[in-house]
Amino acid sequence: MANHSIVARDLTYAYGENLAVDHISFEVGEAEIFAYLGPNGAGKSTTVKMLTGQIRPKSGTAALLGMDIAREPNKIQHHIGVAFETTNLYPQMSATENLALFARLFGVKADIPTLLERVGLGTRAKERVEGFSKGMKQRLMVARALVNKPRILFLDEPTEGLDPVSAEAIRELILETRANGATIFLTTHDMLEADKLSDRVAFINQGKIMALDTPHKLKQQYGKRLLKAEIERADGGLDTREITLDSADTGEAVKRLFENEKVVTVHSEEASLEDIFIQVTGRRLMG
Amino acid sequence: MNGRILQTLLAKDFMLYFRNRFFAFITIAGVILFIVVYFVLPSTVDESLTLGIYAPSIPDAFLEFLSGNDITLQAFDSDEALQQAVIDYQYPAGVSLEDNAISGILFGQETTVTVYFASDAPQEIVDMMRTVLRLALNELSYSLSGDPLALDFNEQIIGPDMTGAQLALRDRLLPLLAVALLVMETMGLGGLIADEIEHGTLRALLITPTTVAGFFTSKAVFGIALAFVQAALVLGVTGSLSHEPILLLLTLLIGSLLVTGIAFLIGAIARGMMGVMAWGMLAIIVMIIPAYGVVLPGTVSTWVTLIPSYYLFDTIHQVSNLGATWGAVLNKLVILFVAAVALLAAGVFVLERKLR
Repeated sequence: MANHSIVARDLTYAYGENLAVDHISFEVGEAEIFAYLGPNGAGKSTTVKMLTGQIRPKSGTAALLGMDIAREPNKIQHHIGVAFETTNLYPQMSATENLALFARLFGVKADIPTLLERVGLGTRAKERVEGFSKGMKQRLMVARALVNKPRILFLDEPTEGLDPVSAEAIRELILETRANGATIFLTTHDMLEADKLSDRVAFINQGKIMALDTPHKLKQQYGKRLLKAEIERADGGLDTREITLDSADTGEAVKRLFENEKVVTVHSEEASLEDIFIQVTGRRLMG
Repeated sequence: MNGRILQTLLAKDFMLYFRNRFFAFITIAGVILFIVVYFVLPSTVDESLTLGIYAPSIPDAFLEFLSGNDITLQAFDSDEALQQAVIDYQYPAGVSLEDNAISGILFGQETTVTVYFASDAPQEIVDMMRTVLRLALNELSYSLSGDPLALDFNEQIIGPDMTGAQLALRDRLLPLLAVALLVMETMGLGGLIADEIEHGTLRALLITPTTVAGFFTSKAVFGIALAFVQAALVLGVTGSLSHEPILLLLTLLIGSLLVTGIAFLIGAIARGMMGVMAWGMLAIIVMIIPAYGVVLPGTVSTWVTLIPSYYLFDTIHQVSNLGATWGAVLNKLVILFVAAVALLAAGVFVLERKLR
């Protein structure tokens, strides 16, 4: 327990009759990047709202840094940063003013110029946010979440809809923040991003955690490694052959392929988190 | 919530409010314009008088005497028409000289003359009319019978009784100007709250050590201060705070509480700026209705007392224009306070439900 930044036990929340989060339990270790994956409406945002004290769980408990979220929400809020999925900055204020406002509310002296440099907005510091692109706003949201040097950073779909450059800048910032000792709770339905960044992933569907482990172990447990080969037919067309790796007759199968077929290309292929998610939940992530 | 957070939230609201060009403009322009309007309006009452009269035959001596005192006569065909003209504030007074009154004067008999006064006729006009009429009729009596007049006046005040309290238009409008500034803040503050909800910035604030109660407190303090300062400025610059300043300022403060409650309701139910404008205009129109009773006495019915702003207008009017003191308006002030607290509680309740 001592090394866990987040501990959730039987956390439950319902909107009227609709059970949004259904008795989920998990732990997130210190300086871990924990990806919380699920399609829209799976219960991701509701979980984050409960963990950040925005709503009270109907049942169950959660502790952040050893403090109960129901009993000490104000204490916890000093140690967390949240970047929301939708932009909620003050558009009439400049980037600096937005960060300065939240620094004052947290009662901290933040090095705002450095923070803005880190998210690539150093030259736009004095401009009003209303003129920023979506990517710039998203980067500023992440900067705002870091203004109080949080020990736990919640990021809700931080790269959704961003151009590749902005998305990469945010990913680098996430890794840099983790390197400084912060725990990252990453909510996303971008499987590639989760695979690239996270130490562990949890699949959530219909309010329940369906699987939770490192991406590598999930792939080992649920996925199949394949060798995919393109072969040329007699008529000049191309066919595809798949050979499962890690089985007893893999070597023989590969040998036969090269002996009997005209192989044009060969690729090894791992199961993706998306494939595993579909396998575990029976549905796709998007939509 | 600690002072630092409250101070930070207030500074933020102040900045955001005045960065909204529309609200910044109407706030500053409103104060300036209303003060200018007050000073541009006439400060005196027109002293040349026209008197309504019903008399089957108007004696020449009577006419000559009145015209010598800058009073002209407007004749009416009936006593009823004369009364209606006075009720409609066309004339401050009217005299009914029926045949029996003329014959009484003619024969030196004890005579009663009916005089109608408009309810808002100032006391000096009432006194002057009494004197002038008595002298004119005395003159008439001497010229007709050679005897001194045995005259009695039957004075009737028609319309709401405002005798002796006639006011210059600008003084009548002053409560309207001051309260209009207050109620305009329902849109400004309502807009700020609706913006915080719509743009999700409130969610971001509540992730910090800011609490829902702190958010409400900062908005209430900002709304009350902004509304109060503007209205107090108008009363101060127009010199209306010379009589019972503490009473007037307290009234404005309670009025600010009232409009802040309405702003909370608007902020909770309006979606976007258009929603704020629509609900805000509706609130302003309803809140302004009682002002007509002050500007144009007798033009609104008693149902306006159901509108809380009536007690705001009326208290300011009574104190600043009619010299009322604490005792005369205390009950109204209490009603206003209760209404303000009730509206603020309703606003907080609706807004809190919306946030949850």
